[in-house]
Amino acid sequence: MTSREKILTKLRTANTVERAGVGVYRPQLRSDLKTDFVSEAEAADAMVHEIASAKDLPEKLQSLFSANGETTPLHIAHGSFLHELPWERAPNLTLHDTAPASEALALSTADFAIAETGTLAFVSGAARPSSWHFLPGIECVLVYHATIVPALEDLFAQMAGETLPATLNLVTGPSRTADIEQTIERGAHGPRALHIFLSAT
Amino acid sequence: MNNNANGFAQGARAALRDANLQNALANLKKGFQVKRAHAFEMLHDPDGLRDAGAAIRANALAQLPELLELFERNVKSAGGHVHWASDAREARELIAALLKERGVKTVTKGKSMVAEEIELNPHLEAEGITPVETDLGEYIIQLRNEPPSHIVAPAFHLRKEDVEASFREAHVTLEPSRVLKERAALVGEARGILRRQFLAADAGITGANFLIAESGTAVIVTNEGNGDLTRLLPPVHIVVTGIEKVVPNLDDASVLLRLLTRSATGQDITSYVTFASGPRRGNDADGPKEFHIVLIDNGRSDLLGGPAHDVLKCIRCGACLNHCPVYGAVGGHAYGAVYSGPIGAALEPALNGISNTHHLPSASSFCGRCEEVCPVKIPLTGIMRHWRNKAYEDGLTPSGLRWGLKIWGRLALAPRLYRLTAAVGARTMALLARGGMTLSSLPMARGWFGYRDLPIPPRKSFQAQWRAGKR
Repeated sequence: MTSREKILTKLRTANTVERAGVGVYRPQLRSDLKTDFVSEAEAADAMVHEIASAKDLPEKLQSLFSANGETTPLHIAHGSFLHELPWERAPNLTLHDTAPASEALALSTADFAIAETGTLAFVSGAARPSSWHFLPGIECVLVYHATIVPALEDLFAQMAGETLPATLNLVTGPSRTADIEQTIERGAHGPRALHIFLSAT
Repeated sequence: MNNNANGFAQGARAALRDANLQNALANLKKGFQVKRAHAFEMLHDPDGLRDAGAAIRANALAQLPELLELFERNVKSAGGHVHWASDAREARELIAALLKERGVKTVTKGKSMVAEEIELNPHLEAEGITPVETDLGEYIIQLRNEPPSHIVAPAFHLRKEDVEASFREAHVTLEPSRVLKERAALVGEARGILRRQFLAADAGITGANFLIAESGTAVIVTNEGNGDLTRLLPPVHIVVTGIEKVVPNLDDASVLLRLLTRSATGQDITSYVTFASGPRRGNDADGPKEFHIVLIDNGRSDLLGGPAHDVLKCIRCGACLNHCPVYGAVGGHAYGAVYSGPIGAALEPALNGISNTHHLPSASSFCGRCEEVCPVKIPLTGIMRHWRNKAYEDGLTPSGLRWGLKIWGRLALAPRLYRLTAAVGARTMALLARGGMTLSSLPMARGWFGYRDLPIPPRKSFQAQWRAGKR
């Protein structure tokens, strides 16, 4: 008998246990979706910037990361629609589609955002390398208002019917560790800082 | 080290004398207890959340074989592989064989208690494969060749000076005059060293916090991002996990995730949660080319439907450790077992046999705080009591205690004799106290009196006072 059969047979012959109640829990919105998302993301040490339109992103990034006119490399995954933004408005930022190194600046876009916890959700795909949420020193993420859902369950409800992607990443704030003397330090392996650019359109 | 449980008394004495450990334990109580309490207070219905979590785990265990088969089908249809291992040895041999077939030399590892349980690292090393722990705490204790002292904070017992010494010894290619005084410098150095390991590794091994049957998913919860890079960068991702971890669907995992992070670190959610469902798909920009799940029994199936059944509900948050007065006094290493604290006392006898572990369920005052904070309401003291009974039946309880219990048992069945003995005892203690209110020593109880005095019982017992009409 294989171990598989052995284990399953043993489990099937165990005394059947009565089923318990229903395991459902609904978190409550404190305010509206956007307000909750922003306050939770900031509570998790993310920096949230509101922009009127995605088109404003290049100038906003340049003002944040190249304020003194220095040339700053910015990594955007190959094939991402983010390449189509008006980058001519940010001449100090040089675009790269190679994987970001440990200190690099990278930009991506979230597929969903979760109000309950200030979380960003990323689905793996052709122009969506999952590892990019862990490789750079600073991660910048474009989030559209319309993608904010109340809770994780709502994200799954929106994906219902589709099979899950190979990798679904939830990201809440920067990377951190408290493994030395129980004191939080940022940037253990993933980004030291997370900037969220919240756009209406 | 599993056989060290019988050395608990020695380990505990050493731990009580260790000033650095006592300092770390004091911080652990302040930090974890306060943060957990705050995280639950912020919820509109904390009890409702715990009830939901307990129900999800109970329902999952009630249909465990069906869920495992469904999980297996869905992992396979997503292009992954599922392996089953009856015990620790089969598991580590199976994993080593998988790695050797693929010519793997270096494997990065996310934090996994199951990997500790099956003693995977020493086996891989013996097979010529280098395992590199990537969780900062696990990396530190790997350098020091120590077991974890806590389920979620494996190196909490060390000071930053200890970490500095270990890094200087291990990272010999770095400039010896570099400054490593600050925690940030230590974290930065580990980031640099481990980043090279992530990029060079031939395979990655992680645990799983939950398995989801309906989607064939392994959920990995981290704050550092190490488990996620372990999955995503090497060509092969292997998940090692226990058969009890499976839940029916994504909503169940969502509820348990809320409980896990709040109970473990007081966070509403950790920085990263990765849902891994198979290897990379056709057009995916990255991700592993192979995805393997190793489902490990190792004593778990013996528990299903039995007196210790509920221990299978555990989601490994560590809250019971953080709130246990015994763990809080001696830390994790004293237990001499992979799983320490109340959950270790309830689980280790199942994994390693009561004869090797009977001191663990005895290392409890049954105060019940572990049950109060358990996110899935496991009756931990009841399960410890079950193991104590088993130890007694198997003749493992020390003879002094056995005789004491026998004598007390006889007395309790003979009320008049019991009353007489109690009255004599009370009077004797009053005599020994020489008119004082407390006793500061008694023969054969020096350990107990070393830390406290015993108040003298009233001359008349409760029963005597009751009969005398004092109600």
